Amino acid sequence: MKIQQYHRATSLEDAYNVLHAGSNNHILGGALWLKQIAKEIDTAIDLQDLNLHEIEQTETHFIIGSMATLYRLETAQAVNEWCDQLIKNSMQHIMGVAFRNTATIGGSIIGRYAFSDLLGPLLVLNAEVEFYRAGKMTLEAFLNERRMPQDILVAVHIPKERGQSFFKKVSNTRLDFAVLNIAMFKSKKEIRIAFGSRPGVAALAKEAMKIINQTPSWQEQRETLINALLEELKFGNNQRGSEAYRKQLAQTYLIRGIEEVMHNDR
Amino acid sequence: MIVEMTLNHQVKRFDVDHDETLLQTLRKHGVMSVKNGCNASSCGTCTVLVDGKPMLSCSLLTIRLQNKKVVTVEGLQEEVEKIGHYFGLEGADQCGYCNPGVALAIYAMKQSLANPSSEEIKTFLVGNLCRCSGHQAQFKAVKRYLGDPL
Ligand SMILES: Cc1cc2nc3c(=O)[nH]c(=O)nc-3n(C[C@H](O)[C@H](O)[C@H](O)COP(=O)(O)OP(=O)(O)OC[C@H]3O[C@@H](n4cnc5c(N)ncnc54)[C@H](O)[C@@H]3O)c2cc1C
Repeated sequence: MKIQQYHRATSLEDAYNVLHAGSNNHILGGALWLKQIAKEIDTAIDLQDLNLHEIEQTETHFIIGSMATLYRLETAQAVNEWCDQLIKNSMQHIMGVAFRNTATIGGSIIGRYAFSDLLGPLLVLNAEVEFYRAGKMTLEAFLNERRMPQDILVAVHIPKERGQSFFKKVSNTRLDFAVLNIAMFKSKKEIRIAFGSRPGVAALAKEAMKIINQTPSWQEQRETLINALLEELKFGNNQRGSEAYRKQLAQTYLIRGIEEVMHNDR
Repeated sequence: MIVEMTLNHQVKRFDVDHDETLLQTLRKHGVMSVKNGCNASSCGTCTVLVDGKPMLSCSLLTIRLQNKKVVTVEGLQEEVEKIGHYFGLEGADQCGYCNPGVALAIYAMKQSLANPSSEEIKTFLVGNLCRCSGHQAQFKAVKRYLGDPL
């Protein structure tokens, strides 16, 4: 990766202006992904002085600054206590600690990586993303947007909701991308379920969620539940796994996940 | 651009390119314990401590490290010798290429986790690959090292 100019931003406005001053100017998160994909950058914009690495909380939400590292969030006790360790359990499957001490939350969300082990958990926690100019929107809405925003991701807001969680990443080796990942969260109100690396980007399994949330005796509805999942979400092929294998995994872990969050809620 | 940092307890000033990685800076200035394995954030041989945290120097831009504290095994002799001693006892050493990186990761783990379980040790060290001795002997050596007081 070649970098012509380096700019240490003094404010979000300053960073935003430099970002828009040239089409090949880029924000630096941890720069791990950028290093792999960007050949040449005109101006690299560093946000490290903008105090975006903190994790704060209000009465209702945790607010994760976009420059917080994955390891910082993984070891944030309060966040993980609330979400039944869902965040920690998912992040521990992303490379090693030295890697996660550099990779940022912002860089991990904005790229909408299909293989992401973080997006599914954030989806089922009903997270919102906050941009400097575009303001706040649900993570789900952001993942469905067609265009990549030329904006700065400032923070992620996670509602404080207690519940039971389940996370599973299936991969061919410990350090590889997922063949499939599944995240589940059972709050007081409902169960939410997301599948990532299908190989498409993480998405909520809304039809399956509807069935399980409306049917007290879900055990009798296993077939309906599985059919709803396979009809709604697209599972496909890539070099890590076939569509058939992914579908098999999806049904198995759908049921296991539900059993686990139900069991732990007793 | 000039970057000032503390390297192995000494204040240093480096004149670096915008895209120079810490791995390049360190090796250019004779810190040869830091190895260039995959250069793709994946193998852990380039691990150093930045403000006490293990990080991958192949993927850190030096220009971002103004006023940071960087430690390599050269700056941590006593602890590294202890780790090396247990590696020797367990036969966890062959070519030694990954040792500086893994030693720093092990030290950082001892600093941050009290009485880690076997699973926690594996999770902490999974990013430091060894391609010749296998991880089992290393794992035993780590357990023995953790038994020593810091
Ligand atoms: C070798 C390797 C293996 C990986 N394995 C996994 C895995 O198994 N599971 C997984 O979930 N992830 C994996 N990842 C992805 C990783 O966890 C991070 O999500 C990724 O590196 C991006 O984070 P970063 O901080 O490095 O972002 P960067 O590389 O700095 O940035 C990525 C993109 O986001 C932009 N950006 C960064 N921050 C902001 C911001 N605040 N506002 C606006 N734009 C911004 C950058 O300009 C760039 O376009 C892997 C990455 C690598 C390099």
